[in-house]
Amino acid sequence: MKPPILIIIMATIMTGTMIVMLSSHWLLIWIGFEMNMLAIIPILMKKYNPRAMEASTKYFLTQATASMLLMMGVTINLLYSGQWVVSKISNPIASIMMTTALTMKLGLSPFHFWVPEVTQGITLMSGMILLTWQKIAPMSILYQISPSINTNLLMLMALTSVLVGGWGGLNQTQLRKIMAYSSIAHMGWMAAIITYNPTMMVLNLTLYILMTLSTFMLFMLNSSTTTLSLSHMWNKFPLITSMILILMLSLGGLPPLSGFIPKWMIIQELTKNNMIIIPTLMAITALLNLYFYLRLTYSTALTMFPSTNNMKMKWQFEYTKKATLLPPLIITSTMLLPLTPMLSVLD
Amino acid sequence: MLKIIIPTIMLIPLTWMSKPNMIWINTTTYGLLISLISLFYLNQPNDNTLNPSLMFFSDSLSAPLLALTTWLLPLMLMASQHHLSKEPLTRKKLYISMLILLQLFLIMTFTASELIFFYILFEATLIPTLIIITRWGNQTERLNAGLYFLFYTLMGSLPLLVALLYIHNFMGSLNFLMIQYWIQPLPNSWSNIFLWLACMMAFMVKMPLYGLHLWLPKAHVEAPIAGSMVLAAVLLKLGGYGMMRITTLLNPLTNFMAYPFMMLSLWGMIMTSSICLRQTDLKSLIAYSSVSHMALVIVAVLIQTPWSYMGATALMIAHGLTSSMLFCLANSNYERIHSRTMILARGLQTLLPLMAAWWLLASLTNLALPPTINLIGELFVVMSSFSWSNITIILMGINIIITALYSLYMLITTQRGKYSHHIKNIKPSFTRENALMTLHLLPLLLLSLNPKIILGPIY
Repeated sequence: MKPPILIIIMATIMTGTMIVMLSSHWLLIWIGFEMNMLAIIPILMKKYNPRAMEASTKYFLTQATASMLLMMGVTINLLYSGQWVVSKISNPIASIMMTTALTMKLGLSPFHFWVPEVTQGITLMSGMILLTWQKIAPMSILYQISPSINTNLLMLMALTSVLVGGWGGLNQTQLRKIMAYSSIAHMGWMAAIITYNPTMMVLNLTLYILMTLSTFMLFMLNSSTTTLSLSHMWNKFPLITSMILILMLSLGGLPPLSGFIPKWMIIQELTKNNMIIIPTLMAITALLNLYFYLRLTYSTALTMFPSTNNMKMKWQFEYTKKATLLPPLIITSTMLLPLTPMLSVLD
Repeated sequence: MLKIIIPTIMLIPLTWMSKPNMIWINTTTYGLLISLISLFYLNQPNDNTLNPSLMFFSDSLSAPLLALTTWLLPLMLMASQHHLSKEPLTRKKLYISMLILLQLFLIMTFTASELIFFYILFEATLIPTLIIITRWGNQTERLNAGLYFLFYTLMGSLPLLVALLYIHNFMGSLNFLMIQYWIQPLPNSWSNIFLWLACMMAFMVKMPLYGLHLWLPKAHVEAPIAGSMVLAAVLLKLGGYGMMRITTLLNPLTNFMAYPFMMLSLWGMIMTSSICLRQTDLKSLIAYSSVSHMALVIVAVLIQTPWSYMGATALMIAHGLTSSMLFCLANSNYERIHSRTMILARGLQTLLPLMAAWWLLASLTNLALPPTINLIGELFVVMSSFSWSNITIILMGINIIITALYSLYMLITTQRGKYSHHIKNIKPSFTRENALMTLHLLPLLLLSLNPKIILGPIY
């Protein structure tokens, strides 16, 4: 794609999300969502093959439906409250409709079916943008309407998302699908805590974005999209295999890595609100997630898979792929746990 | 406490920046020096704990375990020298760094004063151990072993996290020293039963309790020698230590809830001892004997009498040293014949008489010969369980007999009798191996002169 066009499209994507986050008028929020969605379609279709077109079409259909549903919720809210300002939604129907629409955009269960298929059909870079940047806008709206969200609905969606994200990823060897199911599960964790303490949702989102960015960048270094191609990395970049090990364990939420911070904080907030069984269930289901991350690390870092003879020459060549900000990203994705007491500044 | 933690952290730059032929020497020497520092903590004031900082404390329960942990690092390094000699330099340094990292987490775990801090480090010890088992183990089963190890422990400890956060919410703080003064009796109700289960299952899996012990034979057998040593000697004791800390919060419900676990432990110790009699794999035998000894510790902790706590603490330290020594001896066999089958290397006494002396002493301490601290531990536990219920003496007696049986079985199979004809070419014992056995045995025998150190806070 020619650079000027790419710049305009990227700028539109960012502007769309910014408009969503910064506006207080529901119409502008809808405009921001549409701008974002339309601009990302060419990004999803960077590689011009039928698979990418199918992925973009699916993405477009789900996101457009969700935007329309959001608009309907906004109109019902306008009918009952008489104003367009984003604030507490007093009408439960409007609130449920908006919540459903936003969770459809995020890929929470039961609207999660598009995430693995779309993520699989696109390039790693587009997948990265899809799974990180695109989550910011819906999450910001959920943050703003969080006092009026129906807890039961969102908790149910969160619980089923964690289950689906865990079980769905078990049978996958394609890395993009694994990251898609990981995204579903993490969105589930975030959705669980919105109604109780939205700040923890922002914390989880931040850490999730950091970890996913690092993971995708490590995958892009080797241009690997399957577990098998990742398993050849020990030959080429042995240091990167250790990074993948730590990053996968952090995504799985193991202490003392920073992936544990959101899980710990979310469980703390949920227990403070007298919910004991749900966080226990979510924590145990997160172990399913850990299982397939661990399987990735087994093939990549902890064993040395057989490789072809050509591979052994690869150590001679220095790699030239750009890994922007990779070291700070990895460090923040794995070593932030000792800084958890700093969360007290939020009070 | 920083005087132990910072030197341990600095051991990592020491490994990475030492000259290639000095890495083992440097790390072992400085590891021994660090263990000397930890011995200072054994000087505990009565009726109180040493509180060097807000986050760390040490009392008579954690100080011996701390000394055991720091003592074990140089021993692990000495034991690993042979099987890593063929590896490239970076991998050797990685292995040593994993061991040092594990040591660091263990030190912080045993001295943590806040229970969530303890939990985070408890879980943190899993990662270096997983890496050591899966990356440097020798057979293909090591992948399965790492999975079993990680997931059994995590399944038990995630409810512990929820329970600790609930208790934090309920009591206001989880600082162990303060909670002791705020404890209210825990009445018997369904939700309290689940709270008790959530708190204890993590440590039960770690100990391991008989029904949940499947990870242990896998992990111990597939791990390389340093992994087996640290698993058997220290990581199991994490479970015992955690149980002893958290049962202070859970009275008097423990009297009611302890019954199923007592039954499992009492029956399990006989079962696992009996399995030892039928093992062909030497490391597997030692692993099952660990389960059996730890079942005694579980019984002791659940009874909650002063004598049983003394016995549990003594038994933990004694078993740590004994089990680690047995694994080192098994490894010396393995390095020579590259097989863990016992009958392949018979009659070693004629070929390696000094090693046979260590085998004899290790087996004798394993079967709790007087006056070693193994006996003190077991005797206290047997006596306190007799006072809890008279019938347990039968089970304990059977266990002691079967322990003696399999320890002597192991000794006689490997040492006595005619040697198998294909082991005539084995290398004689290295000085390193003899030093390793001495360093295991010397604390064990010297502690029998003054067992007061390891008898824990109740003494």
